[in-house]
Amino acid sequence: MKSTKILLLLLLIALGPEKSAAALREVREVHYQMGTYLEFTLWHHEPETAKRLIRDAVREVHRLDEIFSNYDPDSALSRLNQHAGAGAMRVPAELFALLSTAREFSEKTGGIFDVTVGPLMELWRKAEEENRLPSGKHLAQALAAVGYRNLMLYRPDEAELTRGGMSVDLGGIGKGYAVDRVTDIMRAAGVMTALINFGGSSISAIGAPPGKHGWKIAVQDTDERLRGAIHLRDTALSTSGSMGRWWTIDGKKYGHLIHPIGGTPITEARTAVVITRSATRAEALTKPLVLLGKNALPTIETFSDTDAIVLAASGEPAFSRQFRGRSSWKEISKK
Amino acid sequence: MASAQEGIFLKEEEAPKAVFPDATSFLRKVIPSNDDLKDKIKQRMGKTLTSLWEDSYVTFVAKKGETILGYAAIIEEIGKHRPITFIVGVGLDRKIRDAALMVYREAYGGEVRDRRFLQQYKGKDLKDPLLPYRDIQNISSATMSVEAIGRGSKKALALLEVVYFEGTERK
Repeated sequence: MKSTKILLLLLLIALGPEKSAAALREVREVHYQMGTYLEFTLWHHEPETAKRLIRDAVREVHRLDEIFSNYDPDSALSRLNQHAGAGAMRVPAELFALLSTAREFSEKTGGIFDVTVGPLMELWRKAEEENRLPSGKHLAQALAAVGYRNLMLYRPDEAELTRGGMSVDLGGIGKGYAVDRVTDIMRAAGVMTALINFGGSSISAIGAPPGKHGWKIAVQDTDERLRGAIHLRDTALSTSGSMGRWWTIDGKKYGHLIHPIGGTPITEARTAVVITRSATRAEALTKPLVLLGKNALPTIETFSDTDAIVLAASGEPAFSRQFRGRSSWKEISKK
Repeated sequence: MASAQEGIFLKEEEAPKAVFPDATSFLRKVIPSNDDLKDKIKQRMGKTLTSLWEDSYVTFVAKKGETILGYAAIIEEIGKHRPITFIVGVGLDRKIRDAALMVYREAYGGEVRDRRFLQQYKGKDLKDPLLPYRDIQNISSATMSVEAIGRGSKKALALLEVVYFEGTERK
């Protein structure tokens, strides 16, 4: 009798996980939100439930876009920008939270990450249109309207841009925030295995695909070749590159990332990768790394559980100090 | 769209629900293309250049009960090398609500087939499970091109504007 029970137990142990793993189905969908693609890969026992969760997530991202967009003149962010220099105004809770987080990153990075770079973005966009570098006077004017210290936040829900002409651009952090919210939705619904990829630059991994120890993510180098691979499990990754998008002025390429203190866009080819628990943090912290290269690694190392890689046009990748102990990096190709 | 692996993501019958999850019914309408429609679409697209080779467009009116939520159109655009098919949903405010990929025909947008990339593995067995790209789930990239889906979304917006918001098909 006892041996029968043991045999039955062994049989259950042997069949149990295999049976449940066999029942898992992969559901993949790609949507278009915030001007880029939003890709979901879910492993779930019920594909219809997985699809419904994806719809819920897309709805949430669309809702956030209606708050954070600076293309939509009716968004809460656009209204805040239009109100610059005219006192404090109430903003939605999500915008208040994201602005608070952004300001915190600005302080910790000495202002190298700064969401108030809107006037500089506009200046360089216009420079490309006119195919002429901005004059020193216009650059100084734009710089005078930039500075996170002039973004004031009053709890619980008021924000103020204290100088006229200021404008906030959440392009360097908004997708990460959306990925975190989507991850929350998935986890709250009991999803154990999912990958959320927003535009290739903000990725969140929940669990690992069946039979794998993580989601294998390839990282592109500055020349677009696949340089290495990283396994992600219950963590987020963000990539930012200096030359993913650029302005061309008088035949020269200027990356879309602008140094908020100097006011000029980056011209060196550089890619940064940050791995940490929050996609919001990961996305924000790639910016100082792209702008300053490996010189920004000590700043990144002050954040807990955060690893980083900097890839430059030449030379070996530079890793944050604790990278090797916590994260994996398998080289695919060398320079 | 370079990170998506090739495959069918959504069938036609599933597609409108993906961009209008709140809708309870969809009215499918096939809109034949002609020179007049092409001209109107081009006018509304302004500087955005697109190819208008389609003989017809599959569109949907999304309804919740008797209330129209918006319109959707199935669109094709050339991705990096081959056409991608996706559905675009537009709300009554004439703004894009969502777009969802239906068919993607290029594995990793061509990177893994890139001759320079494959050259590194010359002489190795292609079945070697250690080949790094075989189990790559995604590519984190700073240089993703989403231009095709952006162009296609504008084409859908122009089509639905002409056909439903201004045209005779509005219900």
